[in-house]
Amino acid sequence: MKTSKDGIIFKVEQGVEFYVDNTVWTVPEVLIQPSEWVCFVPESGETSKDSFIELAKIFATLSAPKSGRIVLFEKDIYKISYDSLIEIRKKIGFVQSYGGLLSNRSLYENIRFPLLVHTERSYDEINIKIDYFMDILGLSPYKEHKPHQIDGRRRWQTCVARALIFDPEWLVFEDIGDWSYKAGKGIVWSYLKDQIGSPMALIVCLSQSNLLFEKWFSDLGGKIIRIFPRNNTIG
Amino acid sequence: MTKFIQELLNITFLYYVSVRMLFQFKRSGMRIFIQTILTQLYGIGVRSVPVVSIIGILAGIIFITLFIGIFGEITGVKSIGEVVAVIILREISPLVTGFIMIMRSVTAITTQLGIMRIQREIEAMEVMGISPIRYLVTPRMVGGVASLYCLNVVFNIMAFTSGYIASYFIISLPFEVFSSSVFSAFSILDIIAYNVKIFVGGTVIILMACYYGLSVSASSTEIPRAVSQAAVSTLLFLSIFYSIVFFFTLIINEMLVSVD
Repeated sequence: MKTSKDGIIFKVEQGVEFYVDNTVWTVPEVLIQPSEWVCFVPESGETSKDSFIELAKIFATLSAPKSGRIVLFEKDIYKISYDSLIEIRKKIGFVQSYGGLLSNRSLYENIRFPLLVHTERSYDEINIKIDYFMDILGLSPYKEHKPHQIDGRRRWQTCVARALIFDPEWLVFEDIGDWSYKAGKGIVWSYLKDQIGSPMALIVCLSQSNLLFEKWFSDLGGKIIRIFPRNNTIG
Repeated sequence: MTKFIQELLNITFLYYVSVRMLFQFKRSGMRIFIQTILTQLYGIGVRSVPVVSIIGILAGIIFITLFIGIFGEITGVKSIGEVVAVIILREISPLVTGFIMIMRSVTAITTQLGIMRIQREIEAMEVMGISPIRYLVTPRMVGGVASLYCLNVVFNIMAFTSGYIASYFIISLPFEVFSSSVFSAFSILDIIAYNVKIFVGGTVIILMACYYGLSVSASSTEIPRAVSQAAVSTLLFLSIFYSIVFFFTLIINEMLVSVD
């Protein structure tokens, strides 16, 4: 990437292993620094949606790997208190493949929810920030819509807006569909491309190899890391 | 048996965390926390008022009419107040309002949380550093207990009024006689038992609803199972717990009478 500040935000040590449906996957030792873009892809020919959702969850501190060590801000993730974990999670933007929006709230309220919980900002201050992201991501006409009233793409965009609202230090995308990027032409990816050079690190977990996206990602300076399933299965 | 103990421990732990979250006075999330409690009060309490009122009115009329028809001439008019106080207000009211809460709210809460689990909304909250227990369980628990108190008040007012109207039309009982016989039938022990029933009953049934809703893991087919488990368990709990309190109150009352 163009710039890289000092400090490691994320470190995978001792080869993290995780598994879904009896296939064990091993992540090599990885070090993610601020402003770095990393994309995890299964070895060509392999595909496992659930596994790569699981991997994204590990990067979002939601799930624990079977073995290995994950270090966040130089602290072992399993040795920190729940309160500290909450503080760390405020620095993470997590984008679920299907949005994970609260179904009883409008798109606007969905984006506002974390701000209302974590900050004491006035409604006016909050609204300015939400309007900015909704405008940039093309969501302004859908402010009052509930998640079930819009299509999957806009739900996903809302999830991105919600993830970005806290200026996260790292943004994790779990398995993303073809429609969401089209080799970087989508509105979200265009926005993220403009963020190159900002301290925000980006982690993308693809459930299957996509050469078009990988090329686009590499051209922007992103690192592609291939993951192999271990031959032996558990159980 | 092991599963039962495991579930009991889980629900106890959920209760502990929920109460802890209640006393976590963080200014930042307070407005949305209070807003959620008010939403629950409306959903669980206010929206149950019509059905509770109707059942309260019918309970008052039916019990008084039956009592006068069967025992009226033997026991005298003063016992009518005791029937209203002891049977309807103390025993029937918490039971009926509890059952209505199970039918309307426990099933709704379990379904809602189960769907949230499947649609990964709870996971999204967790990753944003938002405690699902603080914003999903605690407000429902507070709203549920407060609603159960309010619904009991509504039920009692309706049963008392309709009971009086029925006795007035059947045996022309004056209001002063009716009301004084009702209020004199209440002891301090009755009021304590009544409050214990509502507080413990309300807390536990809402907690169980949340627990079964949150225990849904991946498939939508788990939701009906969770709902039926929640409804059956809470019904069973409520019946057993209220019976225990009833017999306990009876024994203490007997002991107090023998001491006197």
